[in-house]
Order: sequence, then C-alpha cells, then structure tokens
Amino acid sequence: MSEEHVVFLGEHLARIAGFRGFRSYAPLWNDPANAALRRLRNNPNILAVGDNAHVPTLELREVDRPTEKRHRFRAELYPLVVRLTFKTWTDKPVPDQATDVVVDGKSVKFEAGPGKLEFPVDSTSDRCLIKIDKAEVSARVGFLQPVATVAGQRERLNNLGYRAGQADDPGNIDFRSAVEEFQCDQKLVVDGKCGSGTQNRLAAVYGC
Amino acid sequence: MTGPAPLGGPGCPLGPLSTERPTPPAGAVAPAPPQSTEAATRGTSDKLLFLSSGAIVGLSGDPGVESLAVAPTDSSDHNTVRQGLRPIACWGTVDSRFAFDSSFIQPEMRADLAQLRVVVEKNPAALLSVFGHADPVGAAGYNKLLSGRRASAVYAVLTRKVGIWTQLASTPMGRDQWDPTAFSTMKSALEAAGKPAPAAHPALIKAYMDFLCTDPDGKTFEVPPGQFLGKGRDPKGKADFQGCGEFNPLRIFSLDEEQSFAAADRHPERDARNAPNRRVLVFLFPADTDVEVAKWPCPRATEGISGCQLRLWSDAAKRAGPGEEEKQHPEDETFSCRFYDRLARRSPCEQIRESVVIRLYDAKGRALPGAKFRLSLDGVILQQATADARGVFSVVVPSRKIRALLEWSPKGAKDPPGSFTFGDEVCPGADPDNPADTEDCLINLGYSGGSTLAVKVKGFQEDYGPAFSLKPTGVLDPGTQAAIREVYTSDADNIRQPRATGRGANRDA
Repeated sequence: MSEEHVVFLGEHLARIAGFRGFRSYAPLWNDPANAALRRLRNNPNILAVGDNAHVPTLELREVDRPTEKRHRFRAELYPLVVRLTFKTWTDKPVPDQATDVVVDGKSVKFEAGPGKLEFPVDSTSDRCLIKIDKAEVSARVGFLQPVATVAGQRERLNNLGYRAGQADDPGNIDFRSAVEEFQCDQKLVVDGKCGSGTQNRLAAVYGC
Repeated sequence: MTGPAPLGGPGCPLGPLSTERPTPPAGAVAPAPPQSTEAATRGTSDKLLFLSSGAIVGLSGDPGVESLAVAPTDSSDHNTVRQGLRPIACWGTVDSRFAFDSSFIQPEMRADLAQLRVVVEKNPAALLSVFGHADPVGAAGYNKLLSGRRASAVYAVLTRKVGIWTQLASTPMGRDQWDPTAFSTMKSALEAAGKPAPAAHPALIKAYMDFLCTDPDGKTFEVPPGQFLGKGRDPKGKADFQGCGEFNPLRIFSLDEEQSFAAADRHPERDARNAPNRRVLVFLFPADTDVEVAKWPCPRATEGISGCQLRLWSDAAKRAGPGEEEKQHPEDETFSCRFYDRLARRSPCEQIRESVVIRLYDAKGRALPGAKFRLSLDGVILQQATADARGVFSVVVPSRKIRALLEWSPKGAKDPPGSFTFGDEVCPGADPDNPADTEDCLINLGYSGGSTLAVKVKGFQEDYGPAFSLKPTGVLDPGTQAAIREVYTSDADNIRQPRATGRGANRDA
C-alpha cells in the first residue's frame, strides 16, 4: 500500500525508501505524486522536517527464467557516500587526514586526502564517527536540512565554523551574528537576514 | 563604590536564619565544600576561575558543534567543515592597573599577570591575542589608539619586547606621556622590591618587565611571540594585539545619565562609572587555530578605526547609543564590533565587577568579630579569609544579579576542617534602595527559607515586630519595607536588639 509520509528529523528520501524495502530513492523521487516535493526540494538527500513524501506501493516483480542456466539481473542502485571537506579558519585544507571512520558502530573503508574524506553509507545509516589524528568528529548522516530552512542555514553555518547556535530562530543573536559574519566574509550586503542571495552563496560555499 | 548598593555596606547585617523560621536552621550548617573551581557561571559552558579587583580569569567551555549535521550524496555534493575561531580561555585586567589615561602598566598589575601565567600554563599550547578597550569619552580615533597602546604594552611585557615600550615612551599621545613619571615608577617599584634599577631606559624597562612577570614564588613568566595568534609574523603585531577603542563597552549610560554627565563637575563621576569599559583582555585560542595575518579582520593597534567598520554589527549605531535605562553587558547588547562580540559575548572575563562590603552576624543578630568565612560562586572560591574586628570584609563580585554561597563561623568555632557553622545562598548585589531587591535583602538577612516572599516577610515581621511595630501579616507594606531597609543598612553590633536611639544612624557609613 502506498502511504503519505511526513518527514521527520534525520530523514532523507533514500532512508525513507530503505526502511520500506526499496533499493533506492528513485521510485519515490520519480513518482508523479512527488512532483511538488521535487519542485520544493531539488535534492532527495536533503529534506526538511515536515515535508510530505509519497511512498508508492513496493511492487514485487516476478520474472520467469529457465533453470540450469545462469541469469544476470540488473538493479538500479544509487550508492550513497558522505563526502567531507575539512578547512582551517583561513580556508586552507586541514593537513591531518582521517585515520578511521566508524559508521553505525563499524569501521568502513574510506578515501582520504588533505582536507578530504569520502566514505560509503547505507540508506539507513545514521551516526558516524571520524577519527582525525587525536581528534574525533561526530556526524549525523541525513540530518542536514535544505538551505531554504532556518535549520539548514544554521547547520551549514555551524559546520562552516560560524557558531550559529542551536536555535532555529532567525532572530536569535548567535544566528544573526553568524549570518552577518558570513555575509561580511562573502562580501554580500550585511543585514543579518539569510535571504535567497545569502542562501545561494551559503549552499555554494558549503557544498550542497 | 558604584552601581547597586553593596551588601549592606559596612553596617549591613548578614545574619543566618533564626531557628524559628520554617526553613533549615542556621546552626551547624556545613555545606559540602565546592567540588570544582571550574563550575559554570554563565549558561552551561563558560567558567569563571578567578576574580579579583584586578584580574579576572575564565575558561570557555563552548565545545563548538558537538555533532555535525551532514547530507549523504549520490552526486558531487560535499559537506564543508571549517574550523571556527573560538577562545578556550581568557584573562582580563582593569583600567586602574594603568596610569591614568596612559598605556604605562602600574606595578599593581604584577598580581594580575601571575594569574595570566596560571591560565597560560594550564593551556601551554594555546595561542594568545590581546584586546584593549577604551571608554567612549573623547574622539573615537584617539580611543582606538589609546586602547591599542595599552594592548601593545601588555603584549610587550609578556614577550619582553623592550622596543615597544621604548616606542610608547618616545611617542607620547595626548595625555599618554610616559616620561618621566613612568620611569620613576619603574625605578621606585624595583627599589622597593630590593632589585637593581638600571639607569639606562632600555635596561630599566627590561628589569621592570621581569619584575612585573615574576610571581610571589619568584617564578618568571614570558610568552614567546610565536605563541601569539599572529605568531609574531607582523612587525606591528597584527592578530597578536589590537585596540578596540570605544566599540565594545561593558556599560552604556542611560540618556539621562549621559546628559547629566555633560557638566564638567560631574566628569570625575562619569570617568569612575566608565572604568569597567577601560580594560585589556587576553584570549587564548586552540593551538591548531590557523590565522593568516593578512586575513585577520582587526586593524593593527597603531591604525585608525576605518578598518573596524567592516566588522561592525549592522545595528551598531543602536547598540552604541544610550537608552532609557543604562545598558550593561551581557544582559544588553553593548558590543558594536560583531567580530569581537562573537569572541567575547559569553566570555566569563567580560563582566562588570564591583566591590561589596559584608558584615557577618550570628543567628541571634550579633556581629561576629574575626569570623572565618568563605564566599563561593558556582563552586569557585572568591574569597576565604577572616573578617575584621567588626565582622566585616569586602569582596569583588560580578555586578550582575548572582547568588553566591557564603559560609561562616564565629571566631574560635570548633567546626570540622573545611566546614562552617553557618551557610546560605546570598545575593551580594542586593540594593536596599530598590524595592525590587527587597526579597534579596531578606535572603541576606537570613530569611532565605520559604518559597514565597510572604513567608520571608512574615519571618522578618515576627522577629522585628516589637522594634518596628509590625504585625506578622506576611504583607510587604510600606512600614515593613522601611524596616527591612533600616535593618539591612544598620551598623549596629546587634541587629535584633529592640529599636534603640540612634540605631540606623550609621546606615550610610
């Protein structure tokens, strides 16, 4: 049976799909009933709390094939990764590289270079821990919200070192301060309001 | 003394609860000693470590973002994680440690620098940056340069850069004239300490710097230029030390105050009230903080204010302007520089302090000459000593509303080690002339029990009813209000005695 799902914190479309037996987010994202969601959020991996997603019925396809023969089946998968760029305050790559990446309690293979890290995650992966030299960075996969939301702006600003606080309130002084400082650094009009121009720049500087 | 009235002034009683009150009795109260010297004082993260009339030291417990919210991707998206600029500790000193309107460091700063040594030794790899501040009196450009000169003087003494002091002395600015007073002060201080005072200025400066950075145990303290945020790369100290001028005051007068202070005869009072604004702070940053001198937003200490403009808050004019009421950091937004505000808004070192005088009494309202006491704020012992022959002591506390733990014992009391006979939460900033502070005054008088003001008022009325013709109604009527004020500001040796002639006459002593 299909269902109408209201997105809660930490959900992205692959996660919603994965928990319902889908191999990828594509059947959901491409479903005509999700046209509004596609228009609203142009990235299925970044949804906002409260977004409405239509989950179509999972159809099991049966195919007839002769026995005693080898057959090849091809599934359309969208392997997910988490890609991180680490920078110093002056925007130089952090020289130290990751030494271990733990996703959902298990070490995973990763690719690392100066200031770069990429590792695979499942659609249902949640927590990951990155060890860099003696430091540890904890990350919540799928918790980043769209840049059009205050939460998404705050999260990006926090990750970019602007210390925007934890309140999803555009009037919050930490948030306003972070927005102004970002605008100043980016040579935008400094007004403390994260309007569309600031949002676009924020997404570009952040990487998504 | 400025700001709210002190905790009673010399005559103010601070008695424990009488045993008749419906709250824990005062006798033999022996709270556990403070568990830590790093308890939170603001929010949940910032920690005051030391507070005196000169130095203030704290730790920033801001852990930054504990867990990053990131997006997975099946395309080219990425998540950027960038280091923030976050102080981990701070040290501050006050205006009075400098000669008046001068950048010359007085010998009294020696004790403050010993506190800086402690915090630097606790964070041996941390990178330092010095920020000077001025009050808003005078031209903004002059204040910027004066605050920069003070910051550079502190930087120089820490790094032993004699040349900076020589430069300050040879380039007087306004009333910031070092020669000859500063040199005679250096000479006197060294001679008083039994140290040689060389005649040549560079040698004298070096000897005086060494003297300032020697703690009572004889340990000397020096910070190499490479341990500052700019690593000493800029010859004029960009990122290592800077002056913020008048952009970041801790106190902004109300409109009425500002107008009244325009009269020349009120300038001394204005200058005294402005004292908290004139200060120098040192922030300590994590060792891996990467700062490119060219990208550091603060102009050099020797440069004007134009370089500051870019980093001002968009509402800087509103922040800097006076309001109907006095504005005070951190309750009000008083910092105009957004960049500094982001570093210092929650810093435990950015707060106005004031000295309060406390007199200790026992449960029966009798003064306690020579009483032992300990005053703690969120686990940090502000002072532990013995009161004078009248049971009086003074202590420096944050001027904002706080509750501090006061413990005390009569002279000769046989308390277990680390324990005291009496103990209670007190409100050092209670102003007996402010009706809104009446409950705080009652708490300081020992009526801390009871969840409501009425219970406290009734307790007071029961004890002082005969003396002031009060009935135990629990209603804070004008008569009770006046009686509370009179008892609170009394200088009597026994505040429970029936009202006698002359009692309260010394309340303003």
